[in-house]
Amino acid sequence: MTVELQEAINPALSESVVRALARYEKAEGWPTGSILFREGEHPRGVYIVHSGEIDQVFSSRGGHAKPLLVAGPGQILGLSCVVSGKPHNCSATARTPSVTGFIDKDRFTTILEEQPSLWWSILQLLSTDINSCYDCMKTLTHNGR
Amino acid sequence: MPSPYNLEVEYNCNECSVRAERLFCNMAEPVVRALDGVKFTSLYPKGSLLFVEGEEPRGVFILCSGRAKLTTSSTEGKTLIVKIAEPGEVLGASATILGRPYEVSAETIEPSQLNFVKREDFLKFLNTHLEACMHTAQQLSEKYHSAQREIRSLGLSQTTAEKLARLLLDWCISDGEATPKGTRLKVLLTHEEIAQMIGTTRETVTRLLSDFKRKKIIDVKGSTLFVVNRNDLETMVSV
Repeated sequence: MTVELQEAINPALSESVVRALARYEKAEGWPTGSILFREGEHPRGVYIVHSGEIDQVFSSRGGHAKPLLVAGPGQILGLSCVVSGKPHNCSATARTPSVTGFIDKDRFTTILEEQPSLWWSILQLLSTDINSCYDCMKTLTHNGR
Repeated sequence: MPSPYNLEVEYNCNECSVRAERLFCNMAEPVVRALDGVKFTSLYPKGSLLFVEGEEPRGVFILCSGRAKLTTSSTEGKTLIVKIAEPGEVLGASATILGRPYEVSAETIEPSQLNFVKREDFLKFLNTHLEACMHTAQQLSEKYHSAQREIRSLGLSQTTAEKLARLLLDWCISDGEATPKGTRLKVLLTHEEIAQMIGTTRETVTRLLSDFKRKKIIDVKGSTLFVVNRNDLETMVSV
């Protein structure tokens, strides 16, 4: 199993975003193995990870599935899908018992309209996510050769 | 007067005929005018290094025309091409936003026009224009999705032949031209670079392309590649 732990995001950034979003979120607990969303589904909203680890699982056409990335506290799952309106590229499954804060995508869009300063944090979070992907690709290439 | 490298150069973003088709550039006129005020237009020949992995971020490069490869190196010094950037993409945005060293290197693979924006000007531009922030977020989301697709291919493909088949199919979708002989692809990458895209060696790529040719799946004429039997390629891909 190849799993790349995503880079920890800037704690100050994480804290400010999490604080700004806290009053709008609905806390949800996820036992190990439970599924937050499935690959190919249209995004319902964003999931702020408060505790635990969430696997990002990729599947092949033949049904073969592998967790290739893992998200931890401070990360926001589904962000890029809500921003772009595209379906999820992978499924998200609780690797350990986890707690997330869920914000519906319409509500999330309204929050961004009301607090435009949050866009800057969104840019930083997405940039960090991209860097994590590049790190993962390096690891996979190294392991695959 | 012909322009360098036979490029159609556009110095004024508001007059750019393809601006509406570009995710980042398709902003309201006042915002584009502000961008025009801080960007420097330059033309680069093939093989120009725009920035290097590990270098402190100087700013972003908006790829107006041409293409560039984004590469990263493993600790063993092996190079991986993480993306071939297409016109309209903003290169170096993550590093510029985070204030961290560039996470990849960028090198043009064909003559290109690029608009450079210095880091502090770009940050000021984002800070002043919410629309620019939103378009940058969309651009970053696209990049993230593209990187996830690569992760899927690298992590789930069972064989190198499968990875190569998937790459050829992706090119058919993005750049292929239907002809009576099959889908025509203009291949700008060397075998070494194709190997760097799928995490293998140059020798393996050369051998696999010969295999595909022998099985009449593809045909190669110089830098032009015809995908003669797309179904066979699709059968090989499980990802």
